[in-house]
This record gives sequence, structure tokens and C-alpha cells, in this order.
Amino acid sequence: MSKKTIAPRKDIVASMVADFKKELQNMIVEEGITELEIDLSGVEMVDSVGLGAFIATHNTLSQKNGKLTVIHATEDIFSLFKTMRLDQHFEIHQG
Amino acid sequence: MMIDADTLNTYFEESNCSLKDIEKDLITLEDMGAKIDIPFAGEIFRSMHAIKSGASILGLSKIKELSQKLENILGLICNEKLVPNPEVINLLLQGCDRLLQLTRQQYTQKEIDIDEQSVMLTGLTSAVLPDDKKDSVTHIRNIPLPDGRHAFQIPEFNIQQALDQGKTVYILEYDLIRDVQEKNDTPLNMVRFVQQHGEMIDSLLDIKSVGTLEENISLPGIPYFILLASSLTHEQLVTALNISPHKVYELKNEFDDLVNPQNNKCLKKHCFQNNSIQKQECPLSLLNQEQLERFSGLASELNFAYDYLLNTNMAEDPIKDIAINRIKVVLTDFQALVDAGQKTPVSKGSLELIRNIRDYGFQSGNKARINCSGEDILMDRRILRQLVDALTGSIIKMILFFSRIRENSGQKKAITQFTLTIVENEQNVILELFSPDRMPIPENSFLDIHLEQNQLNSINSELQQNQQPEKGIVLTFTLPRTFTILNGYPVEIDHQTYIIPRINVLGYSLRSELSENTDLRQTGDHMIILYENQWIPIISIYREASQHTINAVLHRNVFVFCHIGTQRFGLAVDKAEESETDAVLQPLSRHLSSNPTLVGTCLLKDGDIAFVPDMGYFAYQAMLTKC
Repeated sequence: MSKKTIAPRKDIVASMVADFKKELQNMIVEEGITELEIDLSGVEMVDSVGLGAFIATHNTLSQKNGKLTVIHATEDIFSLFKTMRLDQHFEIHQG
Repeated sequence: MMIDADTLNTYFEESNCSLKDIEKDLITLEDMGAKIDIPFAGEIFRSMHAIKSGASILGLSKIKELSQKLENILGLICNEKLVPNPEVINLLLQGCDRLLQLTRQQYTQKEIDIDEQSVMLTGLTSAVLPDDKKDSVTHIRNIPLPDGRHAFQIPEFNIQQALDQGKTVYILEYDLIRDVQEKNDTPLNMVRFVQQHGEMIDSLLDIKSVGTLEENISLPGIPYFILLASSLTHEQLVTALNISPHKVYELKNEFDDLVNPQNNKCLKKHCFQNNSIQKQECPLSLLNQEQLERFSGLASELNFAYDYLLNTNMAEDPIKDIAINRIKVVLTDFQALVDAGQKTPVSKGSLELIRNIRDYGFQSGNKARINCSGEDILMDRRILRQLVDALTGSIIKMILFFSRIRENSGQKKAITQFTLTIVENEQNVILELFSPDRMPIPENSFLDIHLEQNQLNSINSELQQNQQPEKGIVLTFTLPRTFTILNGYPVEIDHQTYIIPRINVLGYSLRSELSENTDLRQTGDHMIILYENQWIPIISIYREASQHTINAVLHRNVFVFCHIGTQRFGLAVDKAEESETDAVLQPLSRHLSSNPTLVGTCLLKDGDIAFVPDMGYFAYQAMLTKC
């Protein structure tokens, strides 16, 4: 079990998702990270494509018996994840 | 959809007003007992529903969750499934208190816990349902999605509540890529938009279809389903949400077993004519809090100047009279502006009083009710706060007094009724409190209201008691109509309290944190102190004010930095309170006119006298010291 925190420090939106997902994939597949924490400090917005990145990361980690945790979410992002019941799939903590 | 600060503030202000009304109405509802006035209960339900709807739209999850649970209980009362007995009302009031806390402390909401209230309210909902419905709170109903692969799993009670309110339940199908991303929208906006058209009972993201990081190179779509209870028809919903009709599934026959036309006598008929927050008459000040405090401080300064000029032994000088008159003109307008911001109807205080007495009765078993009249009279909110404390104490003492008399004469416990009349004349606001349930009271027996009298004295007011043949024991509260209220910081010097007007204080430094030569220096016979990169003189107020000794200054524990206009100086004091104090300025400065350092005295809550230093005088002294 190895753990790592990633902090993108910018909005998780379509324009950055491809690179962000590659980075996540490297961590999980190549570095063997199984407990991944995404620190949303400085992230104000998550669009649909960004939401897809969180779900894909969760699905990938689940296959490897790993765990995704989201920390420091703004009230809006926390509320979105809760409304969409994503908190039933992975842990989300408000900032 | 961006929620701007103004919209949020309006919501919080209106919800606050609405919750205060709900609180009052709940106590009235409690008094009705089993004879529930259904339309009246429906009004309370509607107010709570409006708070919940607003919270839902604005994404305030805790307020939404708690108000939903309170609404559930109110719905049961409306449908006569639950009698609003004191225990039920107590839970509702506690829930409202927590909601009030959430709406008042909007910036620290996430630290406010609602778990206890949520569990209690859910427990109550479950406990009061008939046996055949009890399970509905915990009984989970499967609602399959159109794709057949997934299903919502919802407590049956939530569906039942929506149906009781005359709503239709729909499943909405969205694709977060096609219907949201490609339309340049965000999921949060979409969700909030949907919530404006109904109550989102649940939602479900098909996370399997998103795939993993490896397989998901181009995202085909993210199916998202919403279970929505709405008063709109299928057609209206399709138009309002601008969504394909094939993506809105009406659940028509799925809940036939839950529909019971007998159960919705209040809710269907009354509750959904108005979905928005009811417009309350919230008295909003022309000034915001910060401005109000600033103006209040300036008005105090002006009051001091006026008082000082009036009482100083200056030679007869026509210019002095002109100055006094001009200050008076400005002061009158100034004070009116501040008063308008600080004034509030007495009804605000009487509501708090009613609640205090109700809660005391619930906890002690000595129940009482108060009828108030004259509640539209306006009073300073700071004075009202202290008046409510004194009134609560007095009433509790009267309740205990009557209860002892009942016990001694072998009578049963009963609810004690009180009458509180409020009238005003040019000088005073006068409150008269008595109990029409009076009983034979031994002659010359009086209540011990010493503590309350002290409280009232501290706001320049009086409390007297007497016995009248037709009213029994009567308490009379006399409060001046106008007050000069000083917002200040208390400091202590030689065991004497001084209040430095808030407007003059820049900050504090502890002696222990300062080092000589670096922060404090001697210059001639005086000390100077470094404040914001500037050396400023230190002035002292202690007994030997005329003999500034370096040692005396150095032995003080705290330095308070003050200013008058551009003049800055430090005051050496023994102790400084972090807290602010509201104190009523007593017009006693004429007795102190020989002391140039003081402009007035204040009575504090505990009865102690505080002195108000003349900051202008000290600024002048500071200027001389500097020279």
C-alpha cells in the first residue's frame, strides 16, 4: 500500500483533464499508488469532464483494491459531490 | 448559476425573520394542544417549506437537511397524525434554534453540527406514524431506472411525503457530457436549476459507464438520473427544464399503494400556493453594522463634547452658547440616525421572553404563558437585551412564588398567566407585569427582585413592585426613551474600571511582550512607545495623574493605543478586557466637572461604576508631551 497526495491547484475542467488523467494514471499504474488523495485547495470549479476524471480514478483504484479521498473541497464542490452521491463511493472532505 | 453574496444575505435575513415567526407560532400551536388549527399549522409548514426550498436552490446542504426533517414533522401535524404536545414542540423548537444558528453564523456553518437534531427528528417521525406506516421511515423502496440496470433506493416515507403534498414523482435522465458540458454548463448549475423546479429526492450517477483511467480515452457520456418530486405537470417540467420529453419519466402507477386522499387535507389545499420565501417585514437598517458602530462611536464622542461644554466652568461667552447649540443640532440628527439603526420593535424582545418562559416551564414543570400588548413600540436593541434578562428573572420568581402559594394551599399545579403591557410617553417606556391568576397573597409579602433591580439600574432604569387589589403583585419597569450608549473597551487602573470609547482604541500591547529601548524609551520626563513604526507618547490615568513617573508607567501590565483625530498615544493600564462593553452613559459629569480627565460615568451590568476618560484631554496632553 502506498499513499500519495496530488494537488492540481487549478480548476478541474476539460482543458486540463487529459494531462491530469495521465498524471493520475502514472501514479496508479506505474508508481503503484493505491491510496490516492486529491487536494482541491485552490480549485473553484469542476465541470462534467472533470467529474468524469474523479469517477475514472475511483474506478481504477477500486479495481486495485485502492482508495480515493478528496480533501479541501470548497462548499460548492462538496455540495455537488454530495448531491451526486459520489460520497457513497469515495471520501470527500470540505476545506 | 452564480449565487451572489446579496442573494445569500437576503435569504439568510428572510429565513431569520421567518424562523422567529415560526418559533412564536410553534408556542401558540403547543397551547392549542390536540385541537389543532389546521390552516394555522399549514402556515408554519409553508414557512418551513420556503426555507427548505431556498436552501435547496442555494446549495445550503445542512439547512436543507434539517428544514426537510422539520417539515416532515410539521406535515404530520398538518395531517393530524401527530399532536403537537410539549415534547414535540420542544424538538421542533430545538431544530429551529439550530437552523437559526445556521442562518446567523453563515460563515462558520460547517462547524455547526446537526446530527443530534436530525436523529431526534427522524426518530420522532418514525415513532408517531401508525404501526402500518412506521416502517416507511426505514423501509427502502426500489425504484428501477429506465435502463433497467440501476435503481433508486429511497425510504418510503420520503415518497409518501411528496405524494401527500400533491406532487408528482419523476425520473429525469441527463447525460453530463451531452446535456451539460456541450451546452457550456456545469453540473452544479444544472443541479441547482433542477432544484428550482421541485424537490430532488435522490440522484444517481452511472459511474460504471465512465470506465477507468486506462480505458477512458474519450469520454462517451456520463448518465445521471434525478428522482424529482414536483408540482409541475410533465409538459410544464419539460418546458421549464428545456429537456427532451423522452428523458422525463413520470412515475404514475408505481406508488398507488401510498396514495391516500384522506391524508393530505392541509397540504394539498393550502401549502403550495406560494413556493418562495414569504416576504417578512424585516426592519433593515439604512446603515450596515460596521457603519452603525462607527456612527454610534461618533455620536458618543459628540455627546461627551456636548456634556463637557455644558458643564465646564467657562466664563460666560456667547460663542460657547452658539457652539453648544450647533453641537446640539448636529447631535440630535446624528443620534436619530444611530437610533434608527439600533431600534427594534419590542415584539422581538417579547418573543424571546415568551420562549424563555416556555422553556423554563418545559424543564421545571411550572408552566406559564404571557400576553403582551404594545409590542410595536421601538426600543434600542441593546437595552431590550438587558430588559429581557431582567423580565425573565422577574417572571420566573413570580412563577415560583405563585407555585409555592398553590402548594401551601393544597391547590393543583396550573399554568400561570401573565399580562405584560407596554406604554410610552415623552420621557419613558413603561412596562407593567402582573398575573391575572392572582391568588390571596399574604400582606406585605414581596418578591426578592434585588438582582433584577440592579440589572435595570445598570441601564439607567427602575424596577418597582407593589400590590394592587385588582392585579395582585405588580412589577413596573421604567426605562428612559433615549439613552446614550457607549460602545467601549473596559480597562482597569488602580482597581477602578475605565471605559475607553471603542472609536478611540487602536489596539493593545502586553508589557511582557515589550522590551525597553526597542519598544519603550524614556525621553525627558516621559515615556514613549513604538506603535506601527512610530514613537508615540504614553499617558497615564492613574491616581497620581499629575506626577508622571517612569516607574509607574513601566509597572503597568498593558498599553492601550488610542487616537483622537491624527493624535496617537498609549495609555498605561493594569488590565484590559478583550471584550467590548455596551454601557449606558450616565449624565453625571456635572458632578465631576473639577476632574479634567473624565467626561462621564457608566453603570455596568454588575452595578459597578465605570469612568469614561476624556480622550480629547489625553490627546492634548499627548501633544504637549510630544512638544
